[in-house]
Amino acid sequence: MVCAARGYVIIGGLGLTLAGCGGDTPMGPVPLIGLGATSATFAAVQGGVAPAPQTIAVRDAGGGTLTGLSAGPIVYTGASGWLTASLDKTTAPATLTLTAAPGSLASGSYSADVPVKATASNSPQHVAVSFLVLSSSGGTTISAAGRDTVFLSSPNTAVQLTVQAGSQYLIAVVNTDSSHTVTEDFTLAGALLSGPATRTVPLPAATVPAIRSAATSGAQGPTFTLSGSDQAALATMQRLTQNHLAMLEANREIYERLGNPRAVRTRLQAGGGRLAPISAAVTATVGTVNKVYVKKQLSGDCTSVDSIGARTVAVGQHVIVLADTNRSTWPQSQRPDSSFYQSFATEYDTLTWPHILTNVGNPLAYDTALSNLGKVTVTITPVLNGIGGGIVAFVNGCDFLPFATSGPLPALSNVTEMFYSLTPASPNGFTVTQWEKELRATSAHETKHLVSYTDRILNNSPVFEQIWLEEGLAQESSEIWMRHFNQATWKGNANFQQTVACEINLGVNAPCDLADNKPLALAIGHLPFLFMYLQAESQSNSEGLGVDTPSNYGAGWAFARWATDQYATPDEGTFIQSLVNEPSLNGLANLSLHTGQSIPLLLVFWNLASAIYATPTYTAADARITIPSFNFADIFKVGQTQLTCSGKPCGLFTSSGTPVYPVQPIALTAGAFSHTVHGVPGTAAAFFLLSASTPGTEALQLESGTGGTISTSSGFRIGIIRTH
Amino acid sequence: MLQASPHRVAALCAALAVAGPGCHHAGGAPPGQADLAAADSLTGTVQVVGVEAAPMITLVPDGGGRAVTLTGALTLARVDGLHVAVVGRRAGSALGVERFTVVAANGLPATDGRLLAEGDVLYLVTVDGVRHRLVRPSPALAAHVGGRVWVSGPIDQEPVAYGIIE
Repeated sequence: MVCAARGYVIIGGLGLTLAGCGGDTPMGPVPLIGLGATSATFAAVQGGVAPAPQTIAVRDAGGGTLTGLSAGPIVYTGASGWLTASLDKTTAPATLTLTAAPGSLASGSYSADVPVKATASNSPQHVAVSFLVLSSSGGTTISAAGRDTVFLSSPNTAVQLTVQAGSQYLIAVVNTDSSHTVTEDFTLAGALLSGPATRTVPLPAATVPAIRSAATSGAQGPTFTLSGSDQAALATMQRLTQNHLAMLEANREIYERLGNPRAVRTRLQAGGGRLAPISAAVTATVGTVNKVYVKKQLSGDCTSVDSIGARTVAVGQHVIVLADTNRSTWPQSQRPDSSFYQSFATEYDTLTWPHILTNVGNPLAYDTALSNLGKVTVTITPVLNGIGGGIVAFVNGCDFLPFATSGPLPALSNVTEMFYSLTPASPNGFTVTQWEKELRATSAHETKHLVSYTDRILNNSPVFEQIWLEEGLAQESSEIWMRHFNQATWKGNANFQQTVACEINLGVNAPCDLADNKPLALAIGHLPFLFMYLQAESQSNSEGLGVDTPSNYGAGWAFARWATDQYATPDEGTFIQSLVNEPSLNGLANLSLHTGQSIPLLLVFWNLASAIYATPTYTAADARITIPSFNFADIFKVGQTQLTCSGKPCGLFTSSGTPVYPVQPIALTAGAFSHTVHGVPGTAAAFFLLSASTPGTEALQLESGTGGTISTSSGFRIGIIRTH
Repeated sequence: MLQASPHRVAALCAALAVAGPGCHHAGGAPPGQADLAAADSLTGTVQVVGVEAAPMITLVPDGGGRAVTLTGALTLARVDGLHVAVVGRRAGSALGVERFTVVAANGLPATDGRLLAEGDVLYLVTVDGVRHRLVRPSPALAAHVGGRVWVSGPIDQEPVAYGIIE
């Protein structure tokens, strides 16, 4: 038994009597190895000059005389021979000198263990040495907060960043592969090149703080009260939206399985000489009951429908509104006042229709091959309430196919440009009033999908748009449409009061909509989903474009909005229409073509722009690190910190109100660190917040997941913003 | 499933401009039933158009051209964006996939197989039964022992990227 190993400390020469350790024999002073530091970090450029040697003091930490000192043999992990260790004396106090030489080492991180031995009960003690070999000597100075730099050409990024006391940097390591299924690991290594040579505070890589920051800043503004019904509507919308995505997928499957509807029509005409008559023609006469086929399940073919009676309840110049006549499944108490239908149609004609033509395209461009009604039809039916637990609204691709009850391509099609809406009902959480507000904005979203179908059909496109961009652009359509009711403008940096506060009931302090009668859109769809996406992306690396609902409705929208803000010329509509009307490309390739930018550039700058982790205290020098239309930091902060529910603080984006901001960067302190992140999906990023307490040159290097040289084929790229 | 009438095949190919052996037949001599039933193989890049719960998958053939719809192997959704070789049978305008192999990812050769663990060592067992010892595999892979995965880059070096197929 070694007594000292039990952790007792000899103080002032007074021996402690330890049972089981020499009986009652008093102990005298015991020499112990004491090291001034237990780790050392070197950094050098590949093939370059060796860094300055570092020294570590060796002393007696006990009460005796520490003799017999020696260092080594060095134990390397991986490449060897790059480190020497020597002691100037064999009796303490002594100095251990460590010298690292890059020699022919490849870029990467190397480590070694130096045992320090002596005639002491705690021998040996160890010094962990790490050596960061940089692939480049290039220095980077980001001179002021709000400036940024990106490294897009290669993953082999080695940066020597000039840091100042108090400066802070947001670092986004972005996997620029186009698909979220391609995952990669990386290590971000750092070393302070001009820091103190001798460390007195151990800082091994394993203890690099991995805490995440959720900083808040600024004074609190007024508090708003969120009504209970709005709380329920928010939760409901998120659940129902998932089903909407599944319906979109089902439409795509039909298109791809049966072929382009225009070609199907031509084919059937060629084969049979005559198309079957439209069985379910819609009549533009108020009061008429129409036979309408409504898709009744998320999957299935074009015969998986319910046949309903739907009365024509309003007719506008560009829209027909049909309401299901079934009073059992849609009781009178849950129906809107009949005047709503006509006001909806009027709003569609005066606002929605011109908005769609200006910003998205013509949903009726294929109309002559369909019903030739010259109007979009909206069918409101409780059938949607029961599809997969409820679905807010959808477009059924079968409606673009010729009607056929049998044969090779049976389709119980309504043969017209139609979208469907659920009805307000207790199970889905929508009151009649909330449903009315939701439907008004949803019309701009769904009509965008009609344009997508029309354009892809007329362009003979082989496939539809990828879902995250299809939904993202549909969200952008309803977001632009909402400018009729909120205070947002294109690139106007709209804050909480100009957006959310115009949509939900915030009581007597409501800053935008005292009457609480404006449509619902951003507050129940765009913003909550963006928050969820960013939170999951930064906390668990579980997000990427196309992964799930928050990705498609939140990130897809934010990405489309960012691209529009950066690259739309001469206006939003021209740019969005170019994306919607693209004949062959989709997803990132579509965006790349119509922005003229590379996919890595788009992904790196968008990830930097969407890294909402605090309220910025700087003015961005490069607009690409912002999303100019929205002040998301303000929207999230107010939504998370200034609302009350039933008299208690509550959050709009998480019930607890935390985190305040969705992105949680990994906190790093300038100096030596090595932080590995596993499984970053393509299109997504890992975020770091590097803080410097002393001036110097911080070397940063991107390495493989195990600290070696990162492959030139890696999709990782880096963007850095100086934030303080 | 569509019948194999030459007219219909030609029409489908025209509608979707589908590349592949079936359509090539349709443009020339009428194919017989055996032609359509025969296994087809295609190589190209998978493009997933859909959501996680019900992905719709297409294959953009090598050299460009129109995408071919792939059905029957939902695990293809897990290799979105990768270069794959698929074997299957034509079903209308789609290809019913019977098996597929990941060939490359991000332009880098890839190896597709099942993960086997022996002690601390991970092996990737390819379909031909060969065991490839993985070099410094990601801990994320180690969590999927027994599953089908792919890794990209030279198999005797640390993988550049990886993905979980099933």
